[in-house]
Amino acid sequence: MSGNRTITTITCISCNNEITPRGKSFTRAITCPACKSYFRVRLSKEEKYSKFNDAFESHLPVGAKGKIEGVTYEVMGFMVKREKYSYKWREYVLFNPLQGVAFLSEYDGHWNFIKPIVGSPVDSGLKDLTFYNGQTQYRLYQKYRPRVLYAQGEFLSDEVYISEDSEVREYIAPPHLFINQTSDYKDEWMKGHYVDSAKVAQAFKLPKEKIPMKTGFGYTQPIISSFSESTLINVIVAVVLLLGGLQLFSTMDSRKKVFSHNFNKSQLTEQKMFSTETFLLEDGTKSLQIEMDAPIDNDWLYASFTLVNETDGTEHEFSKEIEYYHGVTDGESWSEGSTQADAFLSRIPEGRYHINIFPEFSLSGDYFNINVYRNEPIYSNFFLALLAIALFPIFYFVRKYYKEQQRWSDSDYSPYDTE
Amino acid sequence: MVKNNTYSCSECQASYTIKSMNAKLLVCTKCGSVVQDLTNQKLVRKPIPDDWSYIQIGTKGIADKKQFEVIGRVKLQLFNSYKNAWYVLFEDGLTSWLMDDVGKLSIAQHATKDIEFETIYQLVPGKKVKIKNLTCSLYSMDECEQVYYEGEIGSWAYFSRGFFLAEGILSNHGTVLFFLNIPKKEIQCMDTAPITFENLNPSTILTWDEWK
Repeated sequence: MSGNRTITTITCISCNNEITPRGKSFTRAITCPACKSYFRVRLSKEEKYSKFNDAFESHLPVGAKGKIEGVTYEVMGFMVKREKYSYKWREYVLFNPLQGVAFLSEYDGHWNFIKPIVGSPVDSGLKDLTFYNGQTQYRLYQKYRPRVLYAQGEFLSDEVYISEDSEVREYIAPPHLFINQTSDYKDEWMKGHYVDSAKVAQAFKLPKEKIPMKTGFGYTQPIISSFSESTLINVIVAVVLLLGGLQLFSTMDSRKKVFSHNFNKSQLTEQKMFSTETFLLEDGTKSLQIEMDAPIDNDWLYASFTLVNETDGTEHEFSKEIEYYHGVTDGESWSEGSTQADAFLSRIPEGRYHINIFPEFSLSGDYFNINVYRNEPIYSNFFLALLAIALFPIFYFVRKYYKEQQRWSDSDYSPYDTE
Repeated sequence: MVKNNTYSCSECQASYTIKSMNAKLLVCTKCGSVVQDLTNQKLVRKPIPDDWSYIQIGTKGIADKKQFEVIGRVKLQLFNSYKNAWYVLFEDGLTSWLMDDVGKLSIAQHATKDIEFETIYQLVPGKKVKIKNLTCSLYSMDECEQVYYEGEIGSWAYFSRGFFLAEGILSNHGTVLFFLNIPKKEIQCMDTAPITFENLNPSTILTWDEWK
């Protein structure tokens, strides 16, 4: 005894072992370290104790301290629970004098950090399976009556008795969940969220191999943990808007005709070619479009071109063919081809240029026109970029659909069940 | 012994000056003896078992924009939890209770509710009841196994074990405590309003360095 305070000691009701509980008088139930009997701390002598048939390994040692979300917690107790389908999971009771009690639960290597809350999180729309907390819809994932298979350490309430007298409902909106535990004594809500196992190991300074390996897909595990879905949508919208703005800007900087001429077969040189006059390309490196049209009728025209930079001699070669045929067959008119063609050259630097044209006329064709445009807007790049941007969300949402199906496959309340 | 509002403990001779005009009980913080008892309940000495509370007699804080000081405590050992009700004296001389419930803090005041003992006693957690124009959802019902006290204590529902403590949340987000005396079929109520840890003066609380 120290002044008006007594140091709490507990005598095991099974083996009379004297225990000084870590939780002092906050400890309301305990497993005797000597005989492993679990019993509730009570002033009367009639209390019973429980012995567990099986022993389980605690991955977080009782007494270990770890920092979670900036708060140092000590592992006070450890339980293994089971529900009717024989799913077993581990629960760790954490304590901090300022923050009170919290829990870490682990199933198949997937962890949730859970804290009690005051009152109900149901803001609106409570139905059998769903409710809204703020703007987020939570959906019932499982409902069960837990059985405690094993308990070790100390507990700030009689977890074995409470668990076995309770019905538990878990509502999820991954990575978050709400747990409602109801009994004759409590109607308690807890709020939790998924925690990566590496973070748990790091928090308690444990080597990763001491933490169970992840198996399957956790029921509150986020599809991608590094960003939220709203962030993904916001980023995509921002990138599309940026691309659209850039495209609009380049379109507004409209195309400019830099050369136009009509070439007649009779003007062909001895080399069977035309050489255009020099034209000037300005304003840095931009695209160039060469349009060719000829008044051909059931005929063709072919030409090869060489764009020559007169300053450094750089040449760009390309060729184009125009074909236009039409007629009537079995009483039905038809046509194919067209009387014009164009060539597109991207990233042509500013400078003085001319074009050498080597045409091949058919028997009926006599002339053709050439128009050269500077800074032709490139829509294909914009749509290719949009397609590339769309690939990630398409992949994400397809993957999400399959992962969600996987998530809900163990639930009796799956929204993917159509039966 | 009493002299000019100053009392001395008959067991250990510790001296106390009463701070609150509403004090009904003075329990020696040194030895746990009852120094002054106006409750007419013939209370006996019961040393308080140690715990991890960070609040102590002398802790100061602010609630409702008024400074307060903790001058006493009632500790409830419940069937499945515990609660500390710290008796606080405000700078204007009024008193109240600072409830410490496993890290959750609230300021509690005795309140009169138009509700019968049986209405709450029959209620199961999770069920609702109308109190005037508010809906109260009961979320816990726990038996009190022991009551401890120290320092200066004002009017309190029950100083001895044998009552149930029920807690409910109101539709206006306030919470309410119901003290149910089963043998006497009496009910007493307290309204509570949450406050945060930041309301307390950090230099006047226990810091428990091992959790830093």
